[in-house]
Amino acid sequence: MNRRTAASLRLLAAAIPIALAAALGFSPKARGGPSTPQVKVLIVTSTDAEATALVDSLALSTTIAVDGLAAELPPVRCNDAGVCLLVTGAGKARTAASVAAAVLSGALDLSRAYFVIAGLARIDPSEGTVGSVAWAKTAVDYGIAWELDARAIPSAWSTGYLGISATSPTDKPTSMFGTEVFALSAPLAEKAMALTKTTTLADAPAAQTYRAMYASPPATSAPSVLACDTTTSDTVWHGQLLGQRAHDWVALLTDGATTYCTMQQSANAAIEALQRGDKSQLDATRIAVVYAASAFDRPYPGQTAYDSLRADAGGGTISAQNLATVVSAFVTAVVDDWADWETGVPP
Amino acid sequence: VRLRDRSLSLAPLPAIALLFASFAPSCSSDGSSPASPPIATPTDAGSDEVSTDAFDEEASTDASTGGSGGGAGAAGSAGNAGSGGAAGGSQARAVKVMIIDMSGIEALGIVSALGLTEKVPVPGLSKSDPNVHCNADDVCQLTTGMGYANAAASMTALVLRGGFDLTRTYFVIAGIAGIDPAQGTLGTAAWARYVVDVGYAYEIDAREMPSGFPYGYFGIGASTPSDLPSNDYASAVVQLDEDLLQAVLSLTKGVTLGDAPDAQAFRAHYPSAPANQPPVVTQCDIASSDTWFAGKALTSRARDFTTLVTGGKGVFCMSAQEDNATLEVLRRADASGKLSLHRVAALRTASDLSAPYPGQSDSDGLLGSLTQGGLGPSTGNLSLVVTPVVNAIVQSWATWKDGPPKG
Repeated sequence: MNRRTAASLRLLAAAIPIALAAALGFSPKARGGPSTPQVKVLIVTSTDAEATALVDSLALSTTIAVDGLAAELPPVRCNDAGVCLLVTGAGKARTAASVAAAVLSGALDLSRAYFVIAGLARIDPSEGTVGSVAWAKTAVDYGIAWELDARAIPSAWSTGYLGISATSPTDKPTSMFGTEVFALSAPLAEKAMALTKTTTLADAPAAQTYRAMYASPPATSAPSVLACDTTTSDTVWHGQLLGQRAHDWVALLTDGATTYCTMQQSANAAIEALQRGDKSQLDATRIAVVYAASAFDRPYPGQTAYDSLRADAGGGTISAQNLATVVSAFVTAVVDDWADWETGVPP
Repeated sequence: VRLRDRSLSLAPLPAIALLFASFAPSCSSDGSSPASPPIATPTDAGSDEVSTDAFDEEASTDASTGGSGGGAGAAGSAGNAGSGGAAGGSQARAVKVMIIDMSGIEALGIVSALGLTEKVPVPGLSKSDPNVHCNADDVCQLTTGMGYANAAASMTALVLRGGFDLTRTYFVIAGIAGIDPAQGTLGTAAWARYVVDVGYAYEIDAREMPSGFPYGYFGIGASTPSDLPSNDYASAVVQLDEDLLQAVLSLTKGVTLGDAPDAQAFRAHYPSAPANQPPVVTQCDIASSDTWFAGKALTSRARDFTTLVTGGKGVFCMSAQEDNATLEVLRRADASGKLSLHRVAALRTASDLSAPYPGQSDSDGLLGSLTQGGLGPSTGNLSLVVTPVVNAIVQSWATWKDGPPKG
């Protein structure tokens, strides 16, 4: 290659990202001003494994550096339709830090954005099965609590967990941290469900074999799109007894209005971080939460809790795939009909 | 103050930390130290994610996918520009000391003692504590809100939107906690060398755990409680700067701490020192988790896990509900040059002994943990211990401005 060609290629290489940015309305000087890219949907996942299929299916090929993210995690990735994806890192600390950075850095215009907090979770076999995808209306924190070892509890208690400053596990605690229970927009959750409930989900022989070990539907049924609620905890608890506590705790904190279904490590932290944006920065009623079940939260009959926790339920690949399918379907509907969504969830 | 009084439910609550106590002599007796504990230090804050397909286990992150500075060309300066003017702008206020509290009752005495009367609103802080408080000496204070999510969100707001120059700032995490009676007592003030996340873990109810397990918790990706976690995050175990630790210990070890008659009466139930002795300033380590655990078995677990992940060097002592989240944000800001992790110290004072005294049940100990008499001394002692550190830094800034004085 001659010198002139090389120079041209260098110029071209330099121009490509600028052209991409221009196509997106992105400006190198993005700083919360009018030239900051307007995001229509921000997808938030914990891990890159959860994000990969979405990055592919939504062609999220442009990267946006956001101050405050962790250097070891990917940058925000976007497409030219205004869809972006943030990988936060697993657990509450990283999730809250990363989402707060996305909100507060000024690198993204989120003022009209819908937020889809999406990831993999474990599921209660009485509510769903491996490969299912669940839209939540309520996110309850499982971990903000008092705890004793269950072997040392009074005979009247069913579990070692109880609310902070409560007198027993059945005594409803007051919200003290502000992050214990988040009620999400019901119209948004219902619209997301309506748009995706007939989505064809993937399944796999290993998942079919594994779920057949459970006693009854829905655990033994094929995966489906569900409307059911979620809990957040850094502690990956497992088993019949801690699963029963999840059920009882969620019912207690929501006065029976909510049924526990999936457990994960991020939702309440992400939602709290989104609350930190003021009304000019984002609309906190535009938050959807969806988790795909990669595994169960408790054993099948005859299996120990320990073996269940460590088992491969065959759901790793299909859950990531199904999450991407369902989230993509929802996101595509929003951006394709943006005129209907821009001012709020359409009827 | 009784936390369980419903009339207080909207007031800032004691930061909820915990303690533990079985009466083993010490928590650092394990001789089987791992060769390479996953410790993030101020000079080695890398991540050690490993790949797995379970939702709760971090996927491998390929460094080549780019960090926050490594995106496509157009993006690089966009991210830098988003820092809200905090980092190094010519008019940015250069803070000498930033005190980080988690609740209003931790903040009250410090704000008063240091005359932090100037309110600086910072976008993104919690709605109940929207201002940083400062004085004319460029000493400031922040209240994050309680728990991991609040701590990480508020710290991110401080770093990105505070408008401060934090490049030479000393950060002092200052909160109340529960204490292991093997390490201290009501009112004890402890500076940490290690801060360990004990909540990021697997758990099976102890009534259905494998036989031979001492408790139901074990590390994520681990097979047993004695195995190192195979999956942590970079701030799951943090070692703080040793020069700074020694400097603050030296400045505060002679401080006479406050005490109270009801705290004295409560600690007299314990049969041995240090639980039944007056409080002093000491060095021992912090475990944090959103879950406020108590009782003998979970205390043992916190001791064991701290020992395990620090290679036998850490001594579990104070249990708190925020510090690893706070440190994750500080780690990120250190990596991008906004501040230095070498300038971070963590102080916790004991509001409660969460493990029971002999003859008391675990549940009686836990249910009474905020009525032991330690709330007043612990909150008062925070300002008694923080003040001499702040005074030394401000009055001898020439000695401190380039880093913690050595030896």
